[in-house]
Amino acid sequence: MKVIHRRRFLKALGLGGLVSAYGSLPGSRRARAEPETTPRRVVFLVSSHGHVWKNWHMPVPGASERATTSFDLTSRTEGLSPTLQPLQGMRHKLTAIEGLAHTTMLGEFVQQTEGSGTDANNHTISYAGLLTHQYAFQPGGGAMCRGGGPSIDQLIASRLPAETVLNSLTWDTEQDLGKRYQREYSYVEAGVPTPFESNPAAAYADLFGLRMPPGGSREARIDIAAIDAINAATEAYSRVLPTLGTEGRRKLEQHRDLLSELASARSRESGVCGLSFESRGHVTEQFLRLAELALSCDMTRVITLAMPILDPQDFGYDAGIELHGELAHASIEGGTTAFSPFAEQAMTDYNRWYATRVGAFLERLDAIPEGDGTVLDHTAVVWLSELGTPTHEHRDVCTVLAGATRFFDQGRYVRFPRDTLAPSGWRVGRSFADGSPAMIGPSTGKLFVSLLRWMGFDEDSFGLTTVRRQDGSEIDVSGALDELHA
Amino acid sequence: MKLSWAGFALVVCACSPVGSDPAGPRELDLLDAPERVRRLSVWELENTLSDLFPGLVVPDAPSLPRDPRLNGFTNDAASLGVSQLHVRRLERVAAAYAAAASDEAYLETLLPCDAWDTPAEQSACGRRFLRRFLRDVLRRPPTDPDLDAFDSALTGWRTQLDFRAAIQLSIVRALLAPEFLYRLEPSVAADGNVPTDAYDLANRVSYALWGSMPDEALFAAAADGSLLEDEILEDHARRLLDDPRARRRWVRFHSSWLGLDDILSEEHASRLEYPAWDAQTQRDALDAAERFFGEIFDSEPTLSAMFLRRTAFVNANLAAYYDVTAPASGWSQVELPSATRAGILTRIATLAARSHPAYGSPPLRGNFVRTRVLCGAPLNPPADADLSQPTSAEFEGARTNRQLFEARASGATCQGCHVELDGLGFGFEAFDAAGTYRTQEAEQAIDASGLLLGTDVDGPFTGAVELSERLAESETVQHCYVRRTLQSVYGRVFEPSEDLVLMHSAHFRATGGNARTLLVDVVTHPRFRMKSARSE
Repeated sequence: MKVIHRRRFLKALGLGGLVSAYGSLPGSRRARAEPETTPRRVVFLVSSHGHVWKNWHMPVPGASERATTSFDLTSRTEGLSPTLQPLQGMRHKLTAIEGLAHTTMLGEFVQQTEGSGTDANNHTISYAGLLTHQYAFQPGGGAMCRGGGPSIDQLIASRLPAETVLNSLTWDTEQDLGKRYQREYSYVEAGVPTPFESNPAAAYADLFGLRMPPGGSREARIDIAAIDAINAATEAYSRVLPTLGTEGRRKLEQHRDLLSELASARSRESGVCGLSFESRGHVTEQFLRLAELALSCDMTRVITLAMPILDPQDFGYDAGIELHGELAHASIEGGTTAFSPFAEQAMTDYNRWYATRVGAFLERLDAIPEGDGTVLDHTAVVWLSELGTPTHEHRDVCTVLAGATRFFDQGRYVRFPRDTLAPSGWRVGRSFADGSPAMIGPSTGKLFVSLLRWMGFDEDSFGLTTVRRQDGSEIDVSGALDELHA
Repeated sequence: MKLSWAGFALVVCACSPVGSDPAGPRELDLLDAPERVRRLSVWELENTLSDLFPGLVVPDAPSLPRDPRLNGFTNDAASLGVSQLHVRRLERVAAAYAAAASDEAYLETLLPCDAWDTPAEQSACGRRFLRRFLRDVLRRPPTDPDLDAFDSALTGWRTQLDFRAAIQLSIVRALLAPEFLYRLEPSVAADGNVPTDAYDLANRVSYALWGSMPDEALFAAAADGSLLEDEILEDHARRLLDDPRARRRWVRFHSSWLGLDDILSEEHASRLEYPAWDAQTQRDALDAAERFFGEIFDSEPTLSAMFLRRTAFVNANLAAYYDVTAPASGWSQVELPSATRAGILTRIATLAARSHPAYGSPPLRGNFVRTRVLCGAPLNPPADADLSQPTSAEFEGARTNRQLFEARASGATCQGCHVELDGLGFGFEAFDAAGTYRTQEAEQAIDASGLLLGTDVDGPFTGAVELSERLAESETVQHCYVRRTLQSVYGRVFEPSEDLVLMHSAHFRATGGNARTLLVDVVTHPRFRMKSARSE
């Protein structure tokens, strides 16, 4: 087991005071002293392959196809569904959301049918569309599709004041479907994936640094003076901007602003936390511990963790089983691959594995006092998947929204009615005529609008505002999920 | 041979279906010059730092976030963005290099001075250092205001800290400069297109052929303007291609084009029939493939050699998989049997990377040839495709891999794609999951007959050698190779019907598919030397 002890972040005093007081600072698991306004945060946890619907959902008394219905999770005597059971202990601070749809992805297939794209692979379209709520972007002939706009995490991060070490953290483990597809969920802008870190120890170093020298030493003085070097470099970006064209200016303005933020972050005290990071356990667990650390120390306000696709042995199955073809595709009755009860159970266990880790993460955030509540009370944690079901459906998307308890009315199971005709046949990739006409619930984009509002941005849409059906009619995908709000 | 582009300006080729553009050939459009604001890719940045600080060991430099890939390449200008994470890591990289470079011993190499003991010596030395160092970092001579600003800061740091610290901080500042981290070509007040200046051209040529900064000779040719002369430019291009850095870039290009490092993927960590197969075997397979391309660069840099050459590099580990005599130690060059192997398509790195641990995959192998070698658009499996290992029912008895895949994809819907994919992929059936040659499977003779579709060399074939021979002569392959070469040089995706693709393809064929000549052609072409006003 490797343990990296966090170095203290020290207040840079500038060259005028070259020697600073680098006294020992007390460690504490408590979040830093309550500021005037408690920060709001959002965490996106993404798992792959969707959910086995029958083992995720819970029946809602009086469910209607014309209205949103819900029930109180805390009063449910029989516990949560098999998949969600590990979240039982945190059910009072979360909402299980039934009935959302990846409407833009379903619309994407209408676009594909009309010949505007070349990469029709379900997974890559899902990677491109999950957090962007846009049609995918095709960078060139034969190239794989990418996000068609900034993803929700990056949009939020770009609007936050530069008060933290990093406005956002993007972590992915690079494990994908046999590594034949790239996996990029987060996008700075259309076609530009957000750089991400795969190694928890390196991600730790991004936050807490590993080269902080002893106070008062020559190295420490150089480190402080380096802030001036960064500021000088920042000015160089401003100087060259007038010599560039529109696109070049935009790129370098962005770089300049990020460099300026870095200088600011280096110049201020960045919180005092006493946790150390241990590189033990599954990489998902490592990243979740790091997320807990980063949030409790207020070092970032936005985290996106694309959790790795598990190996069968991770959740108790034989290593020789091929997860994608043998389990995922066979786990749903009525699919074109022969249904297997074994696969159904395995994919349920697969998602229970994630639910266990998500539940533990929520419990830990809820154990850290902050302001008049806990870190979880000020953090929205969203657990999403790029598919609705392991058989590549994009309706009945199973979503968990936890935390942010002053804004969201938590402790409920909310069922949205499927009252909207889908853009295309429900089995993606098939023509409207061949598939069963499908009714779907609200687009996930509405959830993102709710999250924007939670973060203080009074928006009415994110990404696409309408999605076109195959018959030319349009679906309005703007607005928030007001039913979730307190 | 000095080449003229005049005769090729209007030459177009008849494109074959794979990789063709339904819109048809585009008009000559001089606005499509190389991208003008390009962040250095991680690979380019590492090369540049290595050339900027020769011999410097930097133990503490963090790795940078990986760059996004497009068709295997990581230098697409539009995709290379920045984020907070990126900027933070760049600062740590700059700090690590600056700290290492300002070490007492390395300063002897870095500073162009005999002494820097007294304040007067330090002042003079600092300015001399900055003048040369900034030329290398900014990749053009610093302006007087640039030099003065750096000198002023260096003087301040020298006073407040010490001379060495001042050098260190100046390096940090320089390594964060936009001119270092980006390839910037400032706009000029002109309508339409203008020739690049000599320094821009020096940068374009060095990054195209080395993936790194210009050397002294290139800077000198930029300084006196001679680089703008056709013959001097061509001489420099040929000189650069004789340098080991060009070999490094060449290997990198082919690794990107053909995805050679796919073999390092975790899914290829074991082969069920070969208990000895391990991570070292994966690395050896990649090493051998890269040595193969290095040897081609040195001896016969033609496209046909890539598909036909039997030369291979093996160590004791790989020799067993190739069934050749193992060297006593290290690596040795061998000739593979002409009846079974030819060129890169029959190498372990290529074959095993398109296999599963227990069996080779005809669709993956076919898709590899289709997308990588022929530049065809990807054919992705539908949502409900069964991707598990095809197996025999008990009553069927043992069946070959081919028979199992034929049965799996026998439906009419499947055949829409698989007739093409498996037509290519079945040609590799004489190679198992490890890329080892076999003549029998399930007590039956191997059937490696295949069908090539959508190219200028269509038709039935038998085995990977015949397929390789066919592809070695294919205009479709040549066209694809030119597209990818242009993508790697210009930093953007090229559509099949762009006039530059067509012109270079025609020229490429005329020169016998010589890839070194192609590179010279690309960097001496008038388009490469123009600066456009497009969208700026």
